[in-house]
Amino acid sequence: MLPSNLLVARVRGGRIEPLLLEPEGIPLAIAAEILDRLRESVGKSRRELERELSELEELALEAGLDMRVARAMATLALRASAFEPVKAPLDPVRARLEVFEEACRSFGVALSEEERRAVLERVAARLGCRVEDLEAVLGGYQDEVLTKPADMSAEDLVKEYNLSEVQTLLFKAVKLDVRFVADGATTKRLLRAVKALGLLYLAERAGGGVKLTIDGPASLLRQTRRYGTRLAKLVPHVMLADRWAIEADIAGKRVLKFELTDERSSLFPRRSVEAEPLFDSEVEREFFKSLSRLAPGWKVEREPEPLVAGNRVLIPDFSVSCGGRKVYIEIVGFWTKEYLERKLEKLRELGGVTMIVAVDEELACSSVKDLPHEVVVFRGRLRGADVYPLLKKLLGEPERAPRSEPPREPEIPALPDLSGKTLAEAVKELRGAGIDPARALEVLEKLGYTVEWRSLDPSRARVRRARAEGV
Amino acid sequence: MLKLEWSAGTILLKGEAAPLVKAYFKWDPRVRCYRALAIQYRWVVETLRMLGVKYEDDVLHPPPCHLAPRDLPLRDYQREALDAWMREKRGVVVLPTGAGKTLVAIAAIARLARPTLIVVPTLELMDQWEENVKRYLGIAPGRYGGGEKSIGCVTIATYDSAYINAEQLGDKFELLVFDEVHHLPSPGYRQIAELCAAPWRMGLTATPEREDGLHELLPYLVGPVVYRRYVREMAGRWLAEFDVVRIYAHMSEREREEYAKLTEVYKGFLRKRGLSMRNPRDFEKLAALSVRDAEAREALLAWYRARRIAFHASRKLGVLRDLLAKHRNDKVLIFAEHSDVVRAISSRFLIPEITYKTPEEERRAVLAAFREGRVRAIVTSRVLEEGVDVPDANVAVILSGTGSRREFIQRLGRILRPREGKRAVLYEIVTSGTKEVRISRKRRLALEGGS
Repeated sequence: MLPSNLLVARVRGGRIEPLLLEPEGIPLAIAAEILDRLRESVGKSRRELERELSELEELALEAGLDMRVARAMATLALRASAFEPVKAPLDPVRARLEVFEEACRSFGVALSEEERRAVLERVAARLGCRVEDLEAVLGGYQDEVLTKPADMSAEDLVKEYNLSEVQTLLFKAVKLDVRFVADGATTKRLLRAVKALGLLYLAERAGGGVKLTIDGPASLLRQTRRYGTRLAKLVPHVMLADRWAIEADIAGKRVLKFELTDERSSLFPRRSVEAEPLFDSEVEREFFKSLSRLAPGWKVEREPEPLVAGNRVLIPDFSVSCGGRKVYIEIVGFWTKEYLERKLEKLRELGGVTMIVAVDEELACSSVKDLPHEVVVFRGRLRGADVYPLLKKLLGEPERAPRSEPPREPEIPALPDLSGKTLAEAVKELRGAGIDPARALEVLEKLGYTVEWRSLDPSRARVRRARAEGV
Repeated sequence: MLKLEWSAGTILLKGEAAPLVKAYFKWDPRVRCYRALAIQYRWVVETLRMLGVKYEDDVLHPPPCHLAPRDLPLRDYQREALDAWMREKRGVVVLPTGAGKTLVAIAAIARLARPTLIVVPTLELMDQWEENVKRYLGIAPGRYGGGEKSIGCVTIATYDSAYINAEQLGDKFELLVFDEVHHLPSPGYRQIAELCAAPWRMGLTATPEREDGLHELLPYLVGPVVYRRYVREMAGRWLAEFDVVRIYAHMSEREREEYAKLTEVYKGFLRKRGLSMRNPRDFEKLAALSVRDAEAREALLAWYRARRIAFHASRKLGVLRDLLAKHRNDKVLIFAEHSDVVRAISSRFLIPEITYKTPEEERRAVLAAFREGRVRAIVTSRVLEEGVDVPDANVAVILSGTGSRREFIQRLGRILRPREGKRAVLYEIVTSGTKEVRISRKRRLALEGGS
């Protein structure tokens, strides 16, 4: 994010378009030059660096670019660098006060050049420094020096610039619409960010995905830019979806439209996301395991794509599909009363899909039985066998997975031995090999590993080799 | 039962209510209940009470507060102001700088003894209010701003911090005090008042009027002006007697030529395009034009340069030197427009400067030294204008400034704290034969009764 005066944008026909740069050609050259200069400037003061980097603004201008581009990139590169205060021979604040107080004692104020000189000499003698040191201290404040230049490639810097431009534009947004197609885990992270930032959304179905209209509590009552900074913070989350498009209302003298879609996603940095536990609870993990064993011909997915219930998003716990048919499963376990009410309300409003709601016996109150879905009551913990008959009815007999199915290994590049690693480490390795973290457990099992859970924290769960025939 | 709930700067109404109540709310499909801005809380509650409706109220969550209600000794006009405000417990009190506005607010807090948020423009003012709260109320206030975030029965926040944290602060207080309330109506800051549920509100200022006319929002945000006194009425008794002296500085030969040339470029452009400059909007148009139009850009640059010459005519420093020589034993505040000019004066006369760039530590040290008489002059840009106590300063020099009446009144106010036998003097140094003469005339209108 940048100061708003560094936003380069064009307004045309009620629309506003920020300048986005391909990471090539002149922009890339300027980014590289900035980073090179920083790398060669360890020990230089911030002020000096800012002055030197501002020379590149002219270079940008000569090359036909807006000079603010160079300044914005320099700002980002400086921000990614580390500075430390210099050890000055004098404490500037103390030295300055000494001078002013001495002047006051001697003359009130120093009116003539002689009086001024006399004051400075007296103070220099007392502090044991030179008159020039005092002049320097009177001319400016303490500066800091570069200790660690930004560690990024020129391409990264151009992409960071693009993201910052978009986010800076969104500071003035009064509303953000997001359309996306994404798996449940990515959606969950986006919605969690919406909630953590104190924002609200309305959801509707859009094409094959979901459209969210996002703003803040007071937006209903006032057109306000108050939530702009927070809306801007959502953008990196949105960009993690498989398909995405954003549309924002930007407030100024009049409201302007801003649109951006994944067609331009190659212009933006792709932030990696920490792997999260795949399962929120033991119940869910057990269930996934037992269901996958029961019917290998079915495709069982944890947190599949989001559904829209009324005007809210519901991410079912599981989906089971076979051929063109798909059944969702939602497990309703113990939670707070408000959470249950919200969940049941959402489930009541969900239509157009086949859903099995599995409810703990102790929660199986009458409002659960009214749900417009298949309801399965379980006791203690849900097992695959509890829903299997119903699934069979809805999906048809599971095809036996042919034994001759080509092994998965050819898809998976050679991996080091994962046994003994934590789950978090293993997931990282798998991701490095191009495997979706959401499939990590499944793949690990196929590879013949089991996971020893000590808690739900994936950095504490350990991967062990289970059976020799797996690989 | 009907329920009112706090929700991040707004209030939610759960259950069905009479149309008279619902008029304050709007249906929110996102959460499926009625929602209103927190500022409506007082009116919603009054309506519910009037209708005799039973309801559950979970809007305010005030911090623990151990203040016992009491009365503070006040001057007669301060008491009048307090009484006028207490009638509705909302409204704006207008008193000249130096007349002790702070004490009116502190007395209101002492009387009501309820959780209070005080909103101030600067960190200096935060320090100053903190001292007053400690001294008169005997408690340490919470602070919000400058990196601090603590809530107390009385909490002091900067406008910036209160704006950013309105969601966290809005349900904690019953009384809001806005110091220098003329800042409040700006589009961002007004949300502090709108997103806060406090039913009681007091605004303080020496000049509520804004050039953009937005002061018309004050009755909605805090209440109408309930009490007002002017500088001229109070000088001599509650404020020091003062003189305003205009001194002309003449341009050097070269400056005069340059000024004439630049003015001709600017005026020639206006003539050629048939433009006139009657109000700020006309000027904005010129600025907008200059983006694409090279001639307009040149005209605008000429205007800036001419203004700079007028503001910083080299002879002004000579006039300043003469004034400093005359007032060697007085306490002098010097105001200039640009921070590089401030720096140059500081370095040349060896007097401390305070600008927005001055580190916090140095700022406090300089003000302390000034109070204790270890330095007798300070040069500043706009930082010291608002409210900061610079006790017994008796001479102010305006080296350059805008035509703003508020700025003028505030700068004057800095030297008006009364003291036995004190007569304050404010000098304006104006470059003769330039537009600065008109600027000075405009700001001095502030002295003539009106505002």
